[in-house]
Amino acid sequence: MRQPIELFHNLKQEVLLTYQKHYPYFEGDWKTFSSQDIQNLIGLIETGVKQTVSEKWIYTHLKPETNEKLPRKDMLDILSQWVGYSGWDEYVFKHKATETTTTPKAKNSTKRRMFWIGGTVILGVAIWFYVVNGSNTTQTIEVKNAFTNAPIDSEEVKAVVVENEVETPVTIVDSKLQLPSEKDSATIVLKSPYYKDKTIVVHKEANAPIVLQPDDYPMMLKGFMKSDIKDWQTRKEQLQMILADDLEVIVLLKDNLGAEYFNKQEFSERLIVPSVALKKMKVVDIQSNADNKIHFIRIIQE
Amino acid sequence: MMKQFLIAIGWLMSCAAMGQNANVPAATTIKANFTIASIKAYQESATLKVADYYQYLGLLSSSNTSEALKTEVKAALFALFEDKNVTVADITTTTPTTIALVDLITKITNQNYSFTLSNYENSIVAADYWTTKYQVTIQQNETQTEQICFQRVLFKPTTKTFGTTKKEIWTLFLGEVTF
Repeated sequence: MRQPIELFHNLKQEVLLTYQKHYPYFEGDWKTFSSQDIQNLIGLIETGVKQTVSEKWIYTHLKPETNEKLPRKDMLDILSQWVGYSGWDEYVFKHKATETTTTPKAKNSTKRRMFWIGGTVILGVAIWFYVVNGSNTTQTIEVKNAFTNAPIDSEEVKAVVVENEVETPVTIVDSKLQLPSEKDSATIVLKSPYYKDKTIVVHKEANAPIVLQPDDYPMMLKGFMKSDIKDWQTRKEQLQMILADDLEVIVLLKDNLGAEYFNKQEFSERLIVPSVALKKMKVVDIQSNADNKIHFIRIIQE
Repeated sequence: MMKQFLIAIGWLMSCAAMGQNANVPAATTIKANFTIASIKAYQESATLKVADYYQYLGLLSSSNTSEALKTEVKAALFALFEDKNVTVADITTTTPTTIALVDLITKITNQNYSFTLSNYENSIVAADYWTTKYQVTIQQNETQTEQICFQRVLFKPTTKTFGTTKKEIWTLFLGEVTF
């Protein structure tokens, strides 16, 4: 004759098995039952039997490996109902009645085995589906600097897929375009303040890197904006050469809530003697005139 | 205690004085043209100009800065202000005195001062300016002092030249600095 406390341990195992039916990826035991699992279980019991079990109660009675005392009957009723019985009395009656026969045990063991096998098969199929489809849905293509052959800075290039005159942004991660690959080919437009614009048709299986032609003067400007005070005289002369006399610099303030404007002299002064404000500037657009001199710069203040 | 009291009185007077600028046409007041959120963005941007001012002062004060570079730094520094004849806090003294900007530059030359700014706080907005309060830590050799400064920041429409084109642009300028 099994003692009530043994039956309670049995019930705890059934609670775990029932929980696994709802959360098949849970493969642990009560010891590894996390606080998130506890929250999940509370929610399941609330939904299933319209009763509430506290987090503290689960920590006190379900989490421990061994229990010295039997919990209150009303709580045993709740757990028994949740695993499919009318209450604790039925649970005890059925388990005492069946303990002398081995068949139900074997059946239970078979059910458990079937559950694990089924779960493993489902999980395996899900992983296979994810791997196969995942690798097919994204095509990655590296973008490089044509002169140095170095990967471009992902922050400096924007890419869009153009289809029926609609532009859809493409993510660039670690210098690689992340392209959706449902189509046989896609027209990609790459834009950057520091490289010449490029339009390219990419085919589904293609993985050759895309090379972007650096724009000399914007590249020089980028270098100047990162410089320290050293070589300021050379910088001054070169700024005179690369900036158009009618240069307009617009600095967009935080959240586009305003803008400051600088002309050639004002912007040059900030580059010749690098300022605190300069270190907070991120160039997002550079336009050049017919002489290739920079005549418009759009900056975001960070 | 007395010093803190005087600072508080000065701050209140500075705030009270705002709104009394009757020379600015209503249509060109800051509040008539910008939302509160926008004004805050400009105030944040203006603190970078304050930081630039002290960075330039530090460069002019450094004995390692060449004369040619000092000329460039002075040009950049004066460009931050609406008027280069403005008076500013004399950060070389421990007593609260003001001095002409050009005189301060002469006074700090080769004296190797360096400055660190913190605790920016903006006053309410007047017709065409606000006041930014901040703490400046002044380091010279082994000596370190701290001062609370009040920096007027002007924000008004001005005509800017871009090559042959002229445009009216709202522009931030630094104004007088007091203790």
